[in-house]
Amino acid sequence: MAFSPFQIFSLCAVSTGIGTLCFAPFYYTDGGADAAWPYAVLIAAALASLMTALYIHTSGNLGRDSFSEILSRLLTPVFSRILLFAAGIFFAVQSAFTAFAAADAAGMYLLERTPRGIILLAVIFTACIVHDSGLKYTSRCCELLLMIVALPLAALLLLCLLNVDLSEAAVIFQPDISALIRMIPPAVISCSGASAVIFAAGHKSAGSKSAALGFFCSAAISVILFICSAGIFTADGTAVQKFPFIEMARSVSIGAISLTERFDAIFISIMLIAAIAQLALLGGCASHCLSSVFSLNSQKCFTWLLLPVIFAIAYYAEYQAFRGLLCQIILRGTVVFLIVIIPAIYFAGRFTKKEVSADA
Amino acid sequence: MNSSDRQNTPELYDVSGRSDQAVFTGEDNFRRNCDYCRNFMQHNNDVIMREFTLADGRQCAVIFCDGMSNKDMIERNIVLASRRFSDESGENKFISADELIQQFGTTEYSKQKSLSQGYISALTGDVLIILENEPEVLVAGYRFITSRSVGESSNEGSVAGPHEAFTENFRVNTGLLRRRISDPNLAVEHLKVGQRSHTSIALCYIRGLTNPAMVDELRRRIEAISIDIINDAGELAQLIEDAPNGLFPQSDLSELPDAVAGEICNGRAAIIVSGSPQVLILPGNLSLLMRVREDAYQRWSYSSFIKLLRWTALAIAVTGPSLYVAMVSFHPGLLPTNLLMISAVNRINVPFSALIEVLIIEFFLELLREASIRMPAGISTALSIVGGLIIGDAAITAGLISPLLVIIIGLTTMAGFVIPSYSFAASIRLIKYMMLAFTALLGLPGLLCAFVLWISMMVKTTSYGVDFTAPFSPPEWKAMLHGLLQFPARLRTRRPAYLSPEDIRKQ
Repeated sequence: MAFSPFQIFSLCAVSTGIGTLCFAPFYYTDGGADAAWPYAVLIAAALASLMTALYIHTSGNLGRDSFSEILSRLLTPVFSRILLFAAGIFFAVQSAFTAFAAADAAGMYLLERTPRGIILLAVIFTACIVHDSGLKYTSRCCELLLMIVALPLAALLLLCLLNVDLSEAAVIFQPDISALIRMIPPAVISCSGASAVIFAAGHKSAGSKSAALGFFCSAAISVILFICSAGIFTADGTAVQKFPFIEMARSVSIGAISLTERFDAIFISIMLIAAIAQLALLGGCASHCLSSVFSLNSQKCFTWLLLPVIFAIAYYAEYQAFRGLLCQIILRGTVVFLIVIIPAIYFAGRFTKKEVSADA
Repeated sequence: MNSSDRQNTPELYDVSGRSDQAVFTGEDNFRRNCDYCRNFMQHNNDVIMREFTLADGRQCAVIFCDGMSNKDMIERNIVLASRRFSDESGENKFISADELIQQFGTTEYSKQKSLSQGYISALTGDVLIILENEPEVLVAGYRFITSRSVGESSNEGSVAGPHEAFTENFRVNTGLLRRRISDPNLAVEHLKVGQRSHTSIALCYIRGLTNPAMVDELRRRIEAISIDIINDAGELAQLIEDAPNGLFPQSDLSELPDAVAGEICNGRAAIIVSGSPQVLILPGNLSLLMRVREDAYQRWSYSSFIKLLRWTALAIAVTGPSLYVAMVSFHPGLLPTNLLMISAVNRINVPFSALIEVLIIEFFLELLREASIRMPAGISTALSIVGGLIIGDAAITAGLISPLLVIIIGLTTMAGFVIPSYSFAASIRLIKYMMLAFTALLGLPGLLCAFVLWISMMVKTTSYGVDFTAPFSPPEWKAMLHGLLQFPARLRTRRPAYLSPEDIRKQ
């Protein structure tokens, strides 16, 4: 599966940036983020970029596209299958969390009287149809959706920046190291979608730059939104909001060009479209992993088998304790993926390459 | 056909070609060949067989279809000329098939070893000539098929650019195309489709420009068709496209020779179907279906504006009624206060929910649209007035629908008409109902889910190996910009790379 640099860019942006838009900072920090949040997000984006570049470099050296192929070559088949199964569960949990957050936001701001289960089902069902045809089409769908939402998102960010009092956000420019350390785990969770990119990155020479650009674009969006939010509600005010960015969009006045009474509707629309794209991508990765465990060529059976699983997890994510558990799974999974598995593959790849060279 | 003929039921021709009969040779071959044809002619009363003796004393028969062949020409160039045939001294001599051909006065002739294929040629307007003691039959082109003359297109209106349109006549259509592309590399490949109709089709492309893999694939798909009859290019399109069950058209149909010629020069292929005034352009994608040839003839600034208007129209055509339902039924708080008040006042007497209201008026519009297409032009105008003005106004007065909805539906319908491709506009109408269904369930989130599904459906569609969403996805930046806006003529230097042309440079 070969992806163009722009596809890798859009995959990275969709897998991380929109997640950040949706949830950050309330869900991950379990009570809001403080002024160090933008720095933490940038560090997490840098980490994701570095690890993706490392993976692209390794897969290029090995001449392999697929993550499962690389694992099978570097590890024993049994161990690689165990790892792929764990990855499948990890992506399913991430999908469920994305679905829960999207449904929560839609339910809170647009469909107050509709049962969350119905919204969840609609969102997950749509994502399942999108990723039913495989990662190639999912990534292309993400690409097109990103193009569609890019212009309104850019306009929204510009309008927000024009409307905020930046002096209120000055506190962001006085980072506190201890707060920064506290914010890094939630920021890593917000970039956890980066793990999905390794399924798509392959050995593309231009992939590393595109991936870094994608991660940093999404981080920049998150930072701008946080600055705007801090400019309107102050950093402390932002920390206590459940969806500070939506609230911020709600309070922005756009004067004569207002098409709608509530400007946040446009923001929520962008967020929902992107959340479905992200959900499709993560769900696609989950199906891909589980199909690889059973050496299936088609991932379709897992696409629909995962639907009730993702729905059930997302449905029960409403409970604080369960949500905390999911956050822990996502955090640990991301750390294992980005900080353990990818460097391990890199070193194993170097070793394997030497072996091949010796044989030759 | 008299009763004795009916009792002597002729042998049936096997359309699968299994009973393909070679020309009889040897003793009494002329009689056997003629009898073979007469067997079918018992039921083909429009087919005429004329037997006569050549100057050298051999028997000859001409077989042609009345109403499709030029009888005067046949009489003058074949029958009379063959009888008078003589050598330099004025003596009658043996006439070979080749010498006979010289007398025909037509450049369109061939020799056939298959008698059944020769007979089929006679049924398509050619003349079948059976000669005694000849191992082959001759087929000469004396077609005389009346058709309307080249006129203006009734379905693709334009202000700038040529107005002439294709007709139902196959030869006229290939001629119209050839007149615009006099390049010897323009290939016009003749193929036959339809086991019973034997419809002539022409696969047109430019050698050394159009992707040969795509042409080979097209040819393979056409040759694989096994169907009784092909009446129109649209029918053929459904038989050769990548996803016959897909919602979106994977080719475009055009009546304009300049549009077809332009797309062939862009690296696409065209298929002319005998009897169809529309020519198939392949592969079709979103960019092609949203393009009008006229864009290239106008100032680029104006064409860019029109193109943007068209894309906006596409968005309105898809989401218009759904947005109304979402705003009125689910999220009235999103409407600006003044508009909300207008909407509330307008709907105060409407007994139905917004969804039912939309469905009623959409149903009414679909009926009106279908009825006006089927009616003669004069009645159609009257029908539009009755339907649009009288019934529409009465429905508002009666309180069945709100005036705001009439504006929304009117806007949506107009936006639908702006989409240049009729078949794409039709698929957009279906997508509109899908959007409506999702919106009726979940309001704006439902609409967004349907929107993502629409994008996903488009992304999954391919047309002869070309992505339907190209050049937007996979992105081809310059072509994408050209899809959204119109470049000045001097900057249109390259053909779209997604068509994989062999020659990318245009100028």
